[in-house]
Amino acid sequence: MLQYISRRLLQFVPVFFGVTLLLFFITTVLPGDPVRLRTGERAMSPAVYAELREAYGLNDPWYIQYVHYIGKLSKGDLGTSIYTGRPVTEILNDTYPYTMKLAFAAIIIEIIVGVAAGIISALKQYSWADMLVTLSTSIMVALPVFWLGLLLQYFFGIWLKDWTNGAFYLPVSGASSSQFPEWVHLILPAITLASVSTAYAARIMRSQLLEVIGQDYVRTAHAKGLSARKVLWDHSIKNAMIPVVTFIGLDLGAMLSGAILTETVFNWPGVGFTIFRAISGRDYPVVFGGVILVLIVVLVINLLVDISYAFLDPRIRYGGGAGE
Amino acid sequence: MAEELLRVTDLKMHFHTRDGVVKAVDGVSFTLSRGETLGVVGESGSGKSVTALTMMRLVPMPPGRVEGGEVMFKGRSLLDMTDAEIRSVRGNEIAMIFQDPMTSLNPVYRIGRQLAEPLMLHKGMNKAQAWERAVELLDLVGIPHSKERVRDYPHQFSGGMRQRVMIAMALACDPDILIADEPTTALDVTIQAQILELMQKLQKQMNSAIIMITHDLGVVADIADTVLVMYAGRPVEYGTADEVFYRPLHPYAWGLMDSIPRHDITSKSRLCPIKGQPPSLIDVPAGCAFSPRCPYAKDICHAEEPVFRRIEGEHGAACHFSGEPDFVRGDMICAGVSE
Repeated sequence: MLQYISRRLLQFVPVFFGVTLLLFFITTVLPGDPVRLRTGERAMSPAVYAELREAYGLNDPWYIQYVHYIGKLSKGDLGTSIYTGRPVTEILNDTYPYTMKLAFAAIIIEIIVGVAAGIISALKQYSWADMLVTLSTSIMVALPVFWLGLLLQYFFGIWLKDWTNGAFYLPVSGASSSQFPEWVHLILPAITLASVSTAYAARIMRSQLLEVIGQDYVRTAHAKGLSARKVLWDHSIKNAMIPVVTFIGLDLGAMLSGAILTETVFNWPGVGFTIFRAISGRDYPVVFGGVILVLIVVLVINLLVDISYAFLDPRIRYGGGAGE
Repeated sequence: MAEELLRVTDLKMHFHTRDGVVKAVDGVSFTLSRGETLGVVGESGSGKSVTALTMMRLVPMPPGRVEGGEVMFKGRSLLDMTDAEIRSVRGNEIAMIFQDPMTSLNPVYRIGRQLAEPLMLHKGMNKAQAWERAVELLDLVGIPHSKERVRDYPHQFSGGMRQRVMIAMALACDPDILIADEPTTALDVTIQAQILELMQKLQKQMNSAIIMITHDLGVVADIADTVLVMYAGRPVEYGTADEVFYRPLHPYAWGLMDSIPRHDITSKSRLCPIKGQPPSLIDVPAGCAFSPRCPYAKDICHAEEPVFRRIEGEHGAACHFSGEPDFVRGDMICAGVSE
């Protein structure tokens, strides 16, 4: 197992350099000049412009910039934002907790609602509850995330407010306000972010459980005299959960890498929203810092998911040797 | 006469499907005494397994429905028990082992846990006692290094070893009856012989009864005391193994006997398979279900369903002509096949 983990960690190296090189290369082909964008419409004196470009090292070829960047990165320095002048580490420190809160809120919804809906749907196959789950998950999967976000904003933020004469509604933008605590602000973005994954989780859970219920070892469990409930929890759901756990784990990785669409629609001050704004402003140090953070999170989570797989399913043993 | 454990009378299990009613089991009767082995034989789809699953109430209902009959186990009706009562019989007084040992054990649990489960459930053992007993059970079925193997997972065992584990699990609570549903079909021949030997040895030790469901007549000849031959969900012949093998009454049984490879047949002659296919259980042919494939069939066979009649003692068959002096097994089934 240790051998497997160290081999996987070694694989991080080429992935890391591949992604960062690609990032730097893309900046050379993207139109737009970060220094000009900084002052917007107002003109900037040529002298100041030249000085700023020099200061940010933008006159060097992209590969020289890359070498400089990696050199600074190895000392933990992600540079400063061209737009605000703040250190990128500080920006990420401020925004990343919001991304984590949103991701965990969404994953909790996904686990509770998705898994439960899948189980009910499988146990009551072809019942009205099953039909409802099948239909609603199809709709969820098909709805674009930003569109669902806008619908929820309209319904809970505007329509409901009008209908109750302002007595009851949910906040639709930002992470804090004088009327609402932060967790209330989290509700709509979390539902939006969780929607597609919850639908997939429910569908995977349903099909897996249906498959497991038909397995020979479930019949064996019945033949032992176990109660229906014990057969379900001990011999069916655990087996059916294996692919669901993998899916949810990978999904957590994806959510922790910043939900650009959801965060943008709800002005949620997370890392996705930050990267989105940095890209629009060609604020390359922020883009690089954000992407590198996200890259590391995704790599680590994927590794954790693969390791957890071995614990859930004893048939899987990494690193050869023991087992078959 | 040994104590009678099980009496099945005219058992009927039908499946109500969109395409029609599948009469999977249609009027099966037999008895089973302590220490006895009953062989249930027939082609695939003849209702052997469903008969066993129906007795254990393991057939999903719906689509299945018991359309009649009675299953008396030590004087208690299995079909009329509450769910809790039948659960206390399953795995405890009547245990089952299944055809495919590769899929019959739960892949995510250690062998020990799966062996311990029925012991904790039926014998009230705690976990430590049950695991200790699990090691003894592995010893009993001849698995070496049982103390270490009990902590292994199913995928770490070979097919034959897994079937030994299944047997150990079935015998965990000293059941009165062991139902073995094709226990050797998925195993290779040498392992088959070992497993059968093991089952017979343990049967003697525990004085239990075995219902051996198989399509392998060799297995039945090896271990069965009585034999039930099934065709299209119906019993066609029932008797002691000697009677069924040496004096079969039903043309279907004759056909089965003729399709066994034998060493005394010359190299020129061929095996004589029964021609045709078993019927669909939805559209069972009118009259005798075997009539379309029977070389002896007469008009009455296509018109009237034969009732099961005892010919000598318990030995009987469901054929209009069984027992008639001039109705004897001939070479006709093979006619036209030999060179």
